[in-house]
Amino acid sequence: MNQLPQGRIAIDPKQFDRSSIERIVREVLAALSAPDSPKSTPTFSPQPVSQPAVEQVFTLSDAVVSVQSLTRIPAGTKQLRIARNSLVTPAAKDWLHEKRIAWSKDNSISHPTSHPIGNTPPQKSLFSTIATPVNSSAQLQPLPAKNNTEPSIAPVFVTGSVLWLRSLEKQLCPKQTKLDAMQSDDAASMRAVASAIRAGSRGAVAIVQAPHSALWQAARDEVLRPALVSQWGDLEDVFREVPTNVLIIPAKRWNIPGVCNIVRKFAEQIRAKS
Amino acid sequence: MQLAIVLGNAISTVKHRSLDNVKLLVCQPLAADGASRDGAPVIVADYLGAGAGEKIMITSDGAAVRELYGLQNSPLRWTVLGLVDADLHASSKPKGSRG
Repeated sequence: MNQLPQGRIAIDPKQFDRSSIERIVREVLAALSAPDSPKSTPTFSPQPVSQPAVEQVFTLSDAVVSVQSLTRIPAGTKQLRIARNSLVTPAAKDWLHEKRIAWSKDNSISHPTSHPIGNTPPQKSLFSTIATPVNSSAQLQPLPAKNNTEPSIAPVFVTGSVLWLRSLEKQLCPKQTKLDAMQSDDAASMRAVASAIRAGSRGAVAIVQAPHSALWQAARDEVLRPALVSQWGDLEDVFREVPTNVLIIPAKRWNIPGVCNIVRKFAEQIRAKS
Repeated sequence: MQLAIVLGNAISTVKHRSLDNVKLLVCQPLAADGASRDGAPVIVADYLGAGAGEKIMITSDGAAVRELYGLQNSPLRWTVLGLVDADLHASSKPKGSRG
């Protein structure tokens, strides 16, 4: 009998040939890659497994790409194409990263704008559905139509002639504010503000280079009630003393976070009064 | 943002200093139908006081959360953004405990 190092197991080479070992490895890898399969050791089947045709690129056109929808990807997929207007959940991103599958959004693919409606009734108990296996045919529930009573015009209109105006876009709530394009000068900013107020906006903020000139111009318009905010103390005083609907912000005195805070305060003030 | 349900609490004594005094929850992200699971459970930092069994909104946008809560150089990824009173998929009436 051969002397083996400790921990080694003697395997009879006649028992497993190369094709059997490769088949076992394939089965183990397939069992481990299946997310809902039990983690027990796969059973050894003497019959050769028929492997599906390996597809390197797979396309998904689901509205929401979740881990559940990724289970449809065949083994061996190296690249995944997703519809341009699909949402990919973080868990699905993690799953793809873990499986080393590259994914990208394809502009030529798009899912239907209306959500695919399934006839599944609404879930009665959240806990019971978590413990039950996921139904692969479950589809999205219909979303109700948007409430038409919501005002179509944002309460606070923001414009200005500063280069960093677009940087405010990510900082402001799109439901509370409407960020306008950068204006060529202060006069154009005030004209845009007057148009917005006449169109129904309940407030506007203009970030200008020459605040006093802009204030003078705005005061000549009957629909505008402008106020100059040069420092934080001015903001509270303005809200307390005058029913302003236009705040004029000197660009030289404020930075992006400061302007964002002013706009938020102004929006809260308008909402509180309305 | 994504819906999730709180499964329980996570307790960590030794952790990154930016997570001191932060409640940690074990949450199960939910799929778009609001009921089925989406991926594995995750640990979520909770600044709002969610409890086990509650349905919450979570986000994985770590940069936004670090800015929102004033954290600098934090490895925080998942955070509770809101507590869900009722959602479109729920067939039963909301509990009303939170308005």
